[in-house]
Amino acid sequence: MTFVEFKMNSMKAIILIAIVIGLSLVPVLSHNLVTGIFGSPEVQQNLKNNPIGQQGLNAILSNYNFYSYAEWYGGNYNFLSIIVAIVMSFSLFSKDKEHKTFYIMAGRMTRWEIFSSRVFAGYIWTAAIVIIGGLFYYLLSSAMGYALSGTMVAIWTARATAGAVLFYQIGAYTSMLFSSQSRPILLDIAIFAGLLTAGAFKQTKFLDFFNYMGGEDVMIKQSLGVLTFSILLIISAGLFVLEYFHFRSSDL
Amino acid sequence: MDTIVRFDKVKKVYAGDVKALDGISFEVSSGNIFAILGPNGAGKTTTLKIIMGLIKQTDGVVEVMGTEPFPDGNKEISFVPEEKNLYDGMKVSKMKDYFSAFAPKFSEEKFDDLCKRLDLTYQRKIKALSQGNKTKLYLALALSQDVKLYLLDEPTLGLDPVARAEVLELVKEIAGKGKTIIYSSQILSEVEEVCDHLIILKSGTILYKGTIESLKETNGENLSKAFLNLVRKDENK
Repeated sequence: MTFVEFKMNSMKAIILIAIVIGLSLVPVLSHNLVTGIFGSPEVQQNLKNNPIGQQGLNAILSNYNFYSYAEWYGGNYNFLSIIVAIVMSFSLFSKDKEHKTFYIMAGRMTRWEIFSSRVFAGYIWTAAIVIIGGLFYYLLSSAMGYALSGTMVAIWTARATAGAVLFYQIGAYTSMLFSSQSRPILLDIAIFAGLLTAGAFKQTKFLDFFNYMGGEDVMIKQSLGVLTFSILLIISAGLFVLEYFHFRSSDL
Repeated sequence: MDTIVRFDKVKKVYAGDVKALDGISFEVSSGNIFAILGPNGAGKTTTLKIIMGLIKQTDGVVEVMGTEPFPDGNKEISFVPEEKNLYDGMKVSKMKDYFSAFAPKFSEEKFDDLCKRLDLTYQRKIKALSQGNKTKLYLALALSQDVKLYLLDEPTLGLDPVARAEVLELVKEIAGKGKTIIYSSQILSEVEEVCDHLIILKSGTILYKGTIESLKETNGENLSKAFLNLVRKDENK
């Protein structure tokens, strides 16, 4: 049944893959343009007053790893990963509740069969889309002749996937709480904004897993951050169990 | 005959303290066509959803084929709900494939046969179907399952007289094979034609349970009159 649900979501997933690939093309193809702008006399003149120093900034900008971090892995890619998680999860249960189509399968399948097939199918698609986004940028860079560290790409992609999967689980839960499709999206955005805001305060900084997904520390330490990575996966698994028990005890 | 459904002092209270069922008890024997009747808001759909395992009773005991139906339902039941909503973006053929992937004991051959009998266009998108044709499709899907118990909630709502007659014929055929049918409808002439036993619900309580014949003997010459007399008698109490 997971395969059937997987096929049901294929059109949505293909559109998301096309968007992620399309947006990853922009920074690679505009690399020369961006470095050209920074190399212009006007910008170089202004860089003289920068605390890092003109030479320092020029060195950073000519580093394709840094450029990729600034333009893709540290920014847009992570936002897109969260958007993918929201899009793949918001309608998981709310759509059937809104359209009263749960009765097609409820009773004919056990709650576990309904829940697991739905959640796993979206989970696989979310992870696949995020991984494709990370790897496509790397392959395109290589094809364009830019040297990008494969290790860093693997780490950023793994981190983004773990974060997206966690947010997918959050989205699956909010989808279960409402009988309309718009409310889970709004709540997901509110939760994401809340987590970003929490990251601004010392006491709640640990809640901002978005900071981990696109961590700049990858460029220095080249480390996955196994502890944080494991914590994200454990929270995802915990949410999965909680969601199931909530679904099992809910009236449909 | 075996008891296929048993309700014992079943209560259901929805959020906001809305009482849908107030301690009802009844049994359905296998092989019967059993009607659940009542005015709007009497608790008919709630009763069917409890049997299906879609909602849990607040109190009391429910057994369907000897087991508690909530939360997993029972794969020997096929349900046609009052709201016959399907996935509008799918074609009829794709809906059949999707349904057959999880519905136990679904027969494609039977489905094709029912589509012909109900004059249902096969290669169209569901959103292009009229409400009557959506009802036909829902019925064709549900009745193509070879299960022990069929729950039909307003199965002929929105159907033309020809399709309605065909559905009643189908119900009789299924019952003729020893299957049990629980039938809920506001069209009492249909109920009188196909059902033998019934309960009449009002405000979550049972006004009457027994055979249609004995109800008519005590309350009116046909089911419609007997039903109205019984409900009015209760209102005048």
